[in-house]
Amino acid sequence: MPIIVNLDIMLARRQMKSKELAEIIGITTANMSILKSGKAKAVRFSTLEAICKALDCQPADILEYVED
Amino acid sequence: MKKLAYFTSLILFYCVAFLLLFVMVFSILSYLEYKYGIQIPFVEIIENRAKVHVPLLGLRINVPFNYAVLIMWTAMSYYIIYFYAFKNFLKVFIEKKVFETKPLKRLRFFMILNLVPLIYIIVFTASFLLRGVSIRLEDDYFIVLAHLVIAFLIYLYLDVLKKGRHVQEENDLTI
Repeated sequence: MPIIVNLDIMLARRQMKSKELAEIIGITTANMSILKSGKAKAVRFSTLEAICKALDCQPADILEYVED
Repeated sequence: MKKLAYFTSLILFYCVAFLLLFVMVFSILSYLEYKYGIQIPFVEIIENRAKVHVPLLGLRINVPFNYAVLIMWTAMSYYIIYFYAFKNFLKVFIEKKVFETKPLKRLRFFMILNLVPLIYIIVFTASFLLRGVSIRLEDDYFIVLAHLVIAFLIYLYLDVLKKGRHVQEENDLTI
């Protein structure tokens, strides 16, 4: 998929663990793993909003378009 | 209503299984009476065939002592499996999650079971034609047709479930 999820990079920058972020935004660690691995088919605006709020970043910091 | 249908199919399966197993067991025992003269209850020997009396229902099932009995047992075994699959088919409706692999497998199995009589009718028609005997299988053709209609309806339902599973997967992968 040409949309890359750069959640790992943002988590490293904020020195936050993915489990911690999952707890803050209210999703399961399994879903967090799906999101990080790029297996997710879609991301809800509410989830994106919660991630951006928790990591103090913009959606573009997390999502990136790379042409195949 | 769905639960009622499922429990009805459950009772139907146990009744049919009991009835067919009863007939199968007593058709085997009837051969002992025919061959060795051992007295077996519910069995009546008439020349080269037997009659198995089913208590309560008052049914009298003819049991021939030749290869035809194998066909009879095969058909009985088939209908025991058929009603078991039918019970499982209706179980799909009372389950919380329909769009999963297990209910789909059950449906596919029930659909395949409904296609089995088609093979039977092809083999029998071919055997009659090869021997040059006139075919008188009106009832059998009707049963096969009924099974084919059921198989077609299940195929449509299966297709809907497959699409539903796809939507379910998409939904599960939406974070």
